[in-house]
Amino acid sequence: MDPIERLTIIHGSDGTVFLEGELDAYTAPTLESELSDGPTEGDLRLDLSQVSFMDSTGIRAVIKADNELRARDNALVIVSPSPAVLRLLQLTSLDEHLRIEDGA
Amino acid sequence: MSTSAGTDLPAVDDAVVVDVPARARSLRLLRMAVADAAADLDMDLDTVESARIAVDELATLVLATATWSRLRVRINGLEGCLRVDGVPRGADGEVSAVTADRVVAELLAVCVDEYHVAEDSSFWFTIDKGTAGAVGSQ
Repeated sequence: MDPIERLTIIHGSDGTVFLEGELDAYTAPTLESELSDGPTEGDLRLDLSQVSFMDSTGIRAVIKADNELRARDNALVIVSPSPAVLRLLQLTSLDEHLRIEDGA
Repeated sequence: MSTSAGTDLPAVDDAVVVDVPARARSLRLLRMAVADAAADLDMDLDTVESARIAVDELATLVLATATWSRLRVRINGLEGCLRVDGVPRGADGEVSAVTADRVVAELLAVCVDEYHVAEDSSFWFTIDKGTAGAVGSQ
């Protein structure tokens, strides 16, 4: 199965990137590549409400994007993390360092 | 997937053995099998999720040590405790040391009660029902 079938990435009209599926060692490289090819200006809003699983490789992809955006004086905004993602961010204390917003 | 014990793992009745290609695309199958076993033990959702994370993280660590052929994971639930053992086989080339970065170490420490990764890249972890994490060791 292709990684894209397990992780769907949709670019919203307002610039928000919506992820749906699982973020693991199989799919995280797809996300990293997608984010690296993205716009170089402005903040990046990453909607994780439909991500059912994320592991440390997914965290690394998010941290990498956050670091790259901060280096350009922009921000990564995690929007509406799913319970599984939010728990992971809390377990690693990354919820204290990343900007997280409720999309509602 | 097989329900018989593997030849290179100690035989345990009622254990489920999942023998998969040692590739990242197999991680989801391992997570599903471990989550199913944890749910059978009536573990709560957080504990089931911890078990999914643990097998995923440990298998990912092992897959990074070499180009392995297969990964055999044995899942055993007994008296409210989930025990998961993993053994990779058929390394193509040299096997490097297992290295867990800070994030992985933190996750494993909070997700399981005990875990271990051996020099030969085999691993195990245990989660007791109701205790979604305590002390990890490597």
